[in-house]
Parts: sequence; structure tokens; C-alpha cells
Amino acid sequence: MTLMTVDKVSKSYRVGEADQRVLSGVDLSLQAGEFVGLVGPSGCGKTTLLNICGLIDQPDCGQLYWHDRALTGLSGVALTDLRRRTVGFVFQEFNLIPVMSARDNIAYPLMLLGLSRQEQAERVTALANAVGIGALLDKRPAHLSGGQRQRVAIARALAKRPELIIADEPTASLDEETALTVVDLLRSLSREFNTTVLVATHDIRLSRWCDRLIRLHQGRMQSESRPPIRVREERV
Amino acid sequence: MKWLLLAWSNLGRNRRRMLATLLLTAIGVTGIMATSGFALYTYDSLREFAMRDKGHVILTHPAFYQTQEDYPLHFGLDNADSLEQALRQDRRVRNTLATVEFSGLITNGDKSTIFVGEGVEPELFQVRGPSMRLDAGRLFGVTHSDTGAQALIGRSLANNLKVSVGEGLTLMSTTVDGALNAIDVTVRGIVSTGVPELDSRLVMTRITDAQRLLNSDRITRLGVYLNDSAQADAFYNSLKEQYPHLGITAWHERAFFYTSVRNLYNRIFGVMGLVILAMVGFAVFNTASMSVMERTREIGALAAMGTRRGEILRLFLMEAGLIGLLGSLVGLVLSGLLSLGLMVFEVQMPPPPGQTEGYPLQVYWSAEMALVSSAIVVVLAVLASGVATFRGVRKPIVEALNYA
Repeated sequence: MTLMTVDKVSKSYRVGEADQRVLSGVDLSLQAGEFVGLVGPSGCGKTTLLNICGLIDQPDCGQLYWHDRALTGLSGVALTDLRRRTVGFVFQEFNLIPVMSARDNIAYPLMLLGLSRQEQAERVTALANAVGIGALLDKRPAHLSGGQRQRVAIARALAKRPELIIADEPTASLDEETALTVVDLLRSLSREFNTTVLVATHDIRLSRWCDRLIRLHQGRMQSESRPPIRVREERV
Repeated sequence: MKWLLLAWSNLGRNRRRMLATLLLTAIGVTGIMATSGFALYTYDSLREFAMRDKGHVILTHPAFYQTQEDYPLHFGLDNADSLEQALRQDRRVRNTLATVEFSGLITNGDKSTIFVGEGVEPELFQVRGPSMRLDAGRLFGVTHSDTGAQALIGRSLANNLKVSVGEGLTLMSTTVDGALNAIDVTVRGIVSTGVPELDSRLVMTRITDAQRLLNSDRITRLGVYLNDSAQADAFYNSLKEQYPHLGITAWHERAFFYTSVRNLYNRIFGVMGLVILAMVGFAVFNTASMSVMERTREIGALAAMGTRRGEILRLFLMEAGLIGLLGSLVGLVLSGLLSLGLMVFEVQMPPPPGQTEGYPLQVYWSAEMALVSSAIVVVLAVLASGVATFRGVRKPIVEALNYA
């Protein structure tokens, strides 16, 4: 089932007096439960495509479909509500709320959805145990290591059981071992919850976790490939 | 509730800055409470003084305050005794005091000077309370067993005429018929009103002696003193209906000093209040601006997760509201302590212009003022924060997330 379709999307940014084109006619289709990697050199448009797919940025031209429904012309409030219900984010710098405990950070999206305290607590505990931070729930982000913070961020992104998770360089701030563990975790949990994950990364080693790998170059899709099944299954 | 808790937690992000803002807000509220408390104390004292001076309601001839008299007691009140008796039947009335105003020359035989006289009832000093200081001698007693006319004279007038208690003076004035009349008086007491101009002219006699000097049974005015000052307006209205042929004047219509001080203080302290509020507003604006700048990435993350702009703005407004509320509470406590402190440790104020007596500084702590000033400070803090954060909150999410 197609979750999102990106149809001939282009995007430019104004740099000084000139417009700099970041994406040119990109086509992309994301299937439900898919783990899709977005790779390419710096400045190739990965983050911009990620932002557009995460509904936090608008394309200059082209169309975006969510379950075959065109999103063009939707108001800011409608897009916010759609993100609130269906899109989770994992940021490179974690972006946890520093004055909240890990528990409250994970529960935040659930509070936005208006879930009861009990339901929030159940989901938070289950997810915290799943990502291995069950004992750290009362700690604030400042008292957690980078890996632990990213686990909290993953739990937060998954808490509302989103249909799509946008992860922008989720391992860039982590050491190699932690990075591999975190991606492995994200992969397994997305499979468990049947969540589509679109992850942008520089790290080609992470491709082994991806169902599909999209390579961007100068704002265009250069290639699309599927890593060998053997490699993927090894990890699964 | 969750939002409020989050706002509360956010106050602890930069404790030094938050404490500085809280302290400034608290000092601002203390300043507003102290200045308004001082003004309220002054208004209250002057109002009390004005009411004691002439009464809550003043009865005169209808033309008395409108037209200049051609001769003494030209617009005086007849049958004052029966009027007094009728008024004293009213349960709201504590007392009535008749007064005769007159003027003329006072002489010790060698030296003469002009005087401003008041013929008063002996209960005056009990009814008025401590409105003047007795420097020597005695005030008039309620029972009149003394023989001969007696007078209380101002301290400066006594010095001018070189008289002391027990010595004799002569009062000369024009009678209602236009003839010149004189009576001899013995100095019973020397008083100070605190106003030098008055002390150099003041002569007080019993009302009967004044009437004898002016050769009339009339009185100038009848002051009505009530048990409860709060009933003054209602009583004034009822007298207006009851005695349409008389001049009925409310105390505040003749309280010129009270009215001008009140107008002056309202302006001075109003401007001071505005300056204080502006300081508080700028402090909160600055704190909110810094806060929104430091938290721009977080704002982006919150918005990306589906938090509406209004919810983010509300969070900042709640934080500002909490600062305003906490600052107000601390300010109210500080102003309460100041008020209590001034009751325990007396601080003497210098004499006001035109007076010789200082007075103890007091600051009233008014619950009404506390509510109003706290509400204004909280609303101001929220508004200042709204102005400071509005643009930051509306920043595009991508721009906010990339904010360095």
C-alpha cells in the first residue's frame, strides 16, 4: 500500500540575490512499513526532501500525495494536525525538551493527541523497555548519554504509532557502535509497528538495514537500489 | 495542566535571568503598592481631616457659598437650635456643631492686628478629635461655669500681641447692623494648628460670645457629624430632600486641599506607576526575547511534532504569566512587610508646604490595589511576552530547526 507519493517535486532557496535549486523534479513513492534510506553527498537535497516528506516544508512545484490524497493547498493547521497524528521525527541533535524527563519527552506526542494518563504511561513504559531505557525514564536529557538520548528520541517518534518516521542523520552524533545499535533498533521497531521510515544518512554502512536505497545527486534522483537480501536478512 | 507544568519547568532553564526578572517584577509591584499605599494613606488622612473640620454634611443659608456677604451673618442660619435638635434625632447622626465665622481687630491696648474668628460649641474639640495642638492653657469645657468671655488664640498671634494665658484682649468687629462692637476676652488657651498663616490670625470663642459680638442669634453654618463616614452620600441626599430651602453641602465640596492633593498625587503617582510598569514590561520582554531565541530549535522540533503555533505561543505566555504572578506575590509580601515595618518603626515625614508639623509616614496595604496591580502586572507580562515571542514562534519550522 502506498503511503506517500512525491511527484515531480522541485524546491529552490534564495541565496543572496540568486535562487539556488535544491530539488529538481524528484519522484518518490513510500510503501507502508518500508525502511528507505536517502543517501548522497552534502548539499544534494536529502534534508530538503526529508522536510517535504515530513510535511514541515512545502515544494515550489510538484505534488505530494498522502494515501493518494493530494496535500497541495492544505492549510498550515491541517498539515500540523496531520503531522501530529501520523508523522514522527528523529533528529540528528535529538531535540529533546531539556526540562522534561525522558518519560515526559516520550509522552509529549501522546499529550498532544489527548491520550489518557494511563494510556500514556502504558505506551511510554512499553516503548522505553523496547528501546532499553526503562530504568532511565526519570532522568532528564542532560543526564543521558548521546545513545540514550537518541533512544528516547526514537521512543518519542514511535510513541504515537505514526505511519511515517522521518529520521535526519540519526546517527551523526553517535559513535559507531551506538550508531549501529540505534539504527538496528529503529529498523526492528518500525517493522514491529509497521511504520514507514525515511532516513537520510551519509553513512553508507547503514544501507544494509534499508529495504530500499535512494541516491540523490545535485537535487535529482540518481539511482534507486535494493541492498542484497542476504545482507538485509542478516540484520533482521 | 500539562502545559502549565511545562511552563513552570521552563522557568528554571536560566535561573539567574529568571530570578532577575522576578526580582524586578517584585520590586515593581512593591513600588506600585508603596506609592499607591502612601497616596491612599494621604487621601484617607486628608478626607478624615476635612470631615472632622466642618462635618460630613454642612448646612448653610442657600446663598452662603454662592454670594459674598454684605455684613456679618448676612447669609446666616436662623433657628439653629431647633434644626440641631431635629437632626440629632436621626440615628445616623453622631453630633452637630454650629459655627459662627467672624473677623475684625484684636488689641491688647498697645497693639492691634486683624483676626479671623470662629465662634464654636465647646463639644468641638471632642467631636473633631486632635485637629490642633494646645500649647498652653485649656480648651473650652463642655460645662460653662466660667464667667466672662474667653478665647483660644493662635501661637503666633499670642507672640505678636505678647499675651499669655489669663491675660485680657479686646475683640472688635462690625455687628449685623453695621455698628462697631467690642468685647473683652480672657486668653484661655494658646493653640497651634500647624499652619503658620492661621496661627497668626486665629481666635476662637464660645459661639454665644461671637453672637454677642455680632449682635445676632444666627450661625454661619451647621456641621453634621455622622457615626459612619460611608453613609455621608446617602445622608447628604436625604437632607437635600428634607431641607430643600437650605444650602446642603457635602464635605468634599468644601475640601479644596483634599481635592487638589488627590488630583496632584493621582497624576504624580500615576506617572510613576506607568514608569514602573514600563520597566517591568521591558524586563519581561527582554527575558522572553532571550528565551525564544535560545529555544528556537526546540520551537522547531515542537512544531514538527505537530504542536500548533498557538500552543507554543500559549506556552511562552504562560511562562510570562507565571513570572508576573510570582513577581506580584513576592512584591505583595514585600509591600506588606514595608507597611508593617512603618507601623512598628515610625518614620517622620517633614512638614508639607505651608505647615509646621510633620507627620508619620504610613503606607496602606490595600487588597483592592493588590488585586489590581497584580492583574495589571500579569497582563502586562503576558502582553510583553506575546510581542517578544510572536515572531519567533511564527518562524518556518525548517528555519527554526536549523537555527544555530
